[in-house]
Amino acid sequence: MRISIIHRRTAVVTHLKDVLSGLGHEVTVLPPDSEDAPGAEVVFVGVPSPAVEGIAKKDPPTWVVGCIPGNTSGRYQAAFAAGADDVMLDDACAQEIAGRADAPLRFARWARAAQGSGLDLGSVQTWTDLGPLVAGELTQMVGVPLAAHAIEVMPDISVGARMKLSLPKENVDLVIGLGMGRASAAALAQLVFGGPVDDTALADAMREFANASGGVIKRCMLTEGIQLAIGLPSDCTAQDMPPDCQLWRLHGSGLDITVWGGALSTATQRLTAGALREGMVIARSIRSANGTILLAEGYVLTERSVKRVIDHVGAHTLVEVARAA
Amino acid sequence: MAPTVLVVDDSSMIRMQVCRTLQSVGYETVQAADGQDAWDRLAGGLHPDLIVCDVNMPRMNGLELLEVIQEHRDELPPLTIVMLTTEGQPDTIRAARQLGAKAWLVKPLRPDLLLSAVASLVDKAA
Repeated sequence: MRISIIHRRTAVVTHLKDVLSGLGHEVTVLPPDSEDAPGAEVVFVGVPSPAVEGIAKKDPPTWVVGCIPGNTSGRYQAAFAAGADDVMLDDACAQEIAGRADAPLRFARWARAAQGSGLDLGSVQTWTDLGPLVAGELTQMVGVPLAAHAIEVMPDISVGARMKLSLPKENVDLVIGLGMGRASAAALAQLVFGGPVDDTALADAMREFANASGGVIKRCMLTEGIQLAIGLPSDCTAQDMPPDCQLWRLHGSGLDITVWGGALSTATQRLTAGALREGMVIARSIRSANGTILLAEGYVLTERSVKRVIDHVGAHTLVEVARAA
Repeated sequence: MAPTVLVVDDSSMIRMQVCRTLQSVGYETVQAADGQDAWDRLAGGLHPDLIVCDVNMPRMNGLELLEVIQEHRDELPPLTIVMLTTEGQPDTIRAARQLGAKAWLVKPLRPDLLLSAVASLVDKAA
């Protein structure tokens, strides 16, 4: 983010600049009598200052963090009354400064959650082409051509797997699933394994199909400028399908695979680090005490990374994860 | 002696397909079901000529395995690693390369590409 600092105390300016630059922000230090911070998205201002009121009234709005030297209620009141969006003490630690600087992004996320997702899936070609896209991927995996047709009714399935695709910035999760009946399962076993296999092997194959489908959707969406995180595939039944799904039938050479895709509107949730589990997706970067990023937004947790988070920030620190992950 | 390849993937179907492909041209193969399983084998003394490794796996993912191998590089023989994954995000590929991965193959498995990458890296390492 573009951040400006306006403050009379050189030590505070240096501290803020070091911390914020270290976090990767683009930081500009302005003279202490500045009344404006052109181009800044966030301004840290020593209060009192004429800059606070002027910047607070700007349109588009700039997020103003009033910096006060001591912990007295009068100073807080004055800073908020002048128009600051947030107030902190001059000697705040690096982690607090990081959190204050990220506050406008957090507020924007809550606002989007309140308004619903800003993502129009109908305009995302990867999503509208889900059936043909997955058919192409599976064709390469099984070595026989599969045709894709949109269908209206979900057929019976005996084995299925699904994959969640998280878009934490959009407060929406996409879910794709694949399933098939017994006859198709027998054909699949012949094609992939060379003969009959048990249900465990078939379920594993379906999970890998879901994984590959998630992968191709992720890669294609990236070309449309949409970043998403894919978790790990899991077994599912037709009952796990979200409402208002698109349904596709992929068929050829005895295979008959149903593919569905839907969206789950979701907000993020906060959990203590001790409650994190493998497969959850980080919705907001986790930082260490000195402000460096431990795990970035979109990271899919493993047992090892959960342990690493707890080791660094403690089991009781709150962490934001995608709700449906 | 035939070169040994450690195949790391949480899908038994993919492990089977990769192993069959490699065995068809004479490689020995060893399987691991995730990064932790692979690391346990390496720490236990397995010295493969090459590792074929998925990225998204439970317990310890592929990038975490690369990190652990790098952390212990002084205690291990040189390892050549090829990633085989559905992921194609440039940031992830860059991170893997920085952690020592020598090649990045995107699934679905293409036997010809896998064999060509493995052969060229095994030859280089020899």
